[in-house]
Amino acid sequence: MSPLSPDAVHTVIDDLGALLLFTMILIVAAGQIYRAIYSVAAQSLLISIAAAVLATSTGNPDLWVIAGITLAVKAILLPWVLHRVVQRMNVRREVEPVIPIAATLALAVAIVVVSFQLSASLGPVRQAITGNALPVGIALTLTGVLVMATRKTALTQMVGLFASENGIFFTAMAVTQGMPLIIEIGVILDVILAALVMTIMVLRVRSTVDADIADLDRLRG
Amino acid sequence: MTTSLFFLLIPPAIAAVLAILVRPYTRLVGWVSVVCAAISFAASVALGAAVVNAGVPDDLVALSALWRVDALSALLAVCIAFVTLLASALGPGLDAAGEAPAQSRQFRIFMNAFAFTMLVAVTIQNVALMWVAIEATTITSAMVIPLTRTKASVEASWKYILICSVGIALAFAGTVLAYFDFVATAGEVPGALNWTVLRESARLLHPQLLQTAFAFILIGYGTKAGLAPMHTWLPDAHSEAPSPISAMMSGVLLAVALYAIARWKAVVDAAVNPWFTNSLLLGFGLLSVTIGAFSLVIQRHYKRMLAYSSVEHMGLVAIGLALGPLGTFAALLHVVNHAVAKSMSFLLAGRILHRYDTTEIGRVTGLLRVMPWTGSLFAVGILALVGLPPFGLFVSEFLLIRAAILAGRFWVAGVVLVLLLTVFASLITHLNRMLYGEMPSGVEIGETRSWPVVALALSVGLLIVLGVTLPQPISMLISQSVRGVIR
Repeated sequence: MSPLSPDAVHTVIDDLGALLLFTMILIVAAGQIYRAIYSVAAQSLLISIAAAVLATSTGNPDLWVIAGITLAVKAILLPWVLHRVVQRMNVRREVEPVIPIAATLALAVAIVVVSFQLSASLGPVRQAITGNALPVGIALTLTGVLVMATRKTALTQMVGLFASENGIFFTAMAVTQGMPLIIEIGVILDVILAALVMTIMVLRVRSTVDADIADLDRLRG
Repeated sequence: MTTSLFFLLIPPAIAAVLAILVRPYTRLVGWVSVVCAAISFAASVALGAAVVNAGVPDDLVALSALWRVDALSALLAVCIAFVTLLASALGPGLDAAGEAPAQSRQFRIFMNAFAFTMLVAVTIQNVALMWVAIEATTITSAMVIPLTRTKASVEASWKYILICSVGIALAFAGTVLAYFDFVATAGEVPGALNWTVLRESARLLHPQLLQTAFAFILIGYGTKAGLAPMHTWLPDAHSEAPSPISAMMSGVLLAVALYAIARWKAVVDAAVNPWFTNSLLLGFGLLSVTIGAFSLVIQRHYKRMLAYSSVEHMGLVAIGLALGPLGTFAALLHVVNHAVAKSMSFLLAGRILHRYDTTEIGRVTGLLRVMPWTGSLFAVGILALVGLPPFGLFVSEFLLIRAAILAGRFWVAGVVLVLLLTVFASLITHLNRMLYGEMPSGVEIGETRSWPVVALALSVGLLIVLGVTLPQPISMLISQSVRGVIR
């Protein structure tokens, strides 16, 4: 017998979803890279908590493993690496938006509204899905893309990518009550590798050319 | 068949691990990696032969809980292993003189890892693990694009990894939606994410949800396949990568992404009227061919020219997949032809770049006199890519147009023909400017390291054989693949 009733799980997941959206807004609003990094770490922590809640309610031990890995890798390891890069390499501390932060915030709000509309239109299927996990996940993913598209500095783009993957991960977990473990591990492994490769590239750009990945203009054509 | 699969997958993995372990880099590692690629290629051919001989009409040859090789897998595996062998044999790290050891080592590690991830993607049974493998192809190939450490190549790699990670994340969202629906209707079944299980039970799933899932999957894997308008990373990544990697990315990686789309299409078509997936594929395909064709007109760099030509060809494949059995046959044949022609062209472009030290079409002149063999083979490659007979791409493009007409889609046939003419005119003009004219001063004349040219001449032979006779084993493999994805 699970200690949590399904309704209670719905409520908790919904609350966590709201907090996730709040961290996303913090990422969009962050003017300094540090704040964006802390926000994405908080976001991963929330996802880890969501995994733990689902693990308790479904009694699926795989979800405990996922909660642990998410906490260790996404909430602690990756933010720590990003933090070190900012400190050690003396990269630019500002996020350098392409369009004003206020405008990005407005777009982010629009994305959230559209996401809820979109998943409401899925009709009968949606009722089977835990709480509002689907619209929250879609909103997180799209907002992450927005951050990537509207920030010039490499590290902020990475934060956008992590936020985006957090969104997908949250949806996958909440919607299916746990994908098979081997797949979740594969997904996390890919995230780690991508982060590693991108960090190497940032460091390489610093060491070979005296510039950050700020503009991709030279490659148009 | 299990043995063949073992020898298909393990050699590239061994080669990659060996390149990691041996420090500093020695040429022996390079040669071992060539031998491994050759073993892998032989195994892929054996696998193809086994599938054809088994003649199982309804594909589905499960080898274990994890692996499954049907005709379509074998077809892709042959293409991947062939291009990998070429890239390995002509890549850096085999000569005494030349490349820096550190670069050769990096190339050998990631080239082999890249090949391994692609081969896993086409032979694995589980759709979510296939997703993991395809995401891993992005990471392994992104590592090796900035081999020369120029700012442009790092930027290209960055753009590639960002855009493709987002795209592939959408594909995962689609996969999750389909999985959720499956679990909600059929309950937790072992192997719920296997192709076969998914397709068998697709009829029970919610059509509406599957449609949403397919839209996500098509945009996601379409990003990786270079379908417009998600292709923006492709010209940069393919032109900045070292030529052997460009050959693998353009020749087979794009096809691997389309393989994923074709598999999912088979699942979705079992539940929804195929009209839905077909219209989406036609739309993206036509847009890709259009954008590819018109970008070719204004191209000033020959490696970018080859890259945009890939956008165009992937568009053609997508259109073919939407045109029923004959169209799918044409599309898969086109994948094979394109793999051979494009990998050859990119490898030759690498030789031209090495000699002229520029990627601008305008500054490469008198190619036929500077490098007679490279120049003529490059010309042959371009002529094959524009779809002239007697090369294989002529046959597949002809079949594609025929499939469009037989399907009653005359306007598709018409539009494709006009666009193909545009491609023809622009590519021939660019080629003309490169082949003839005054040689620039200061460029060394004559071929060096000529044995790669011999290897690439074999590709030309292959293209002619594919165009003139279309050997029966290949056509049988392709028709079996078609039966595997269309019921």
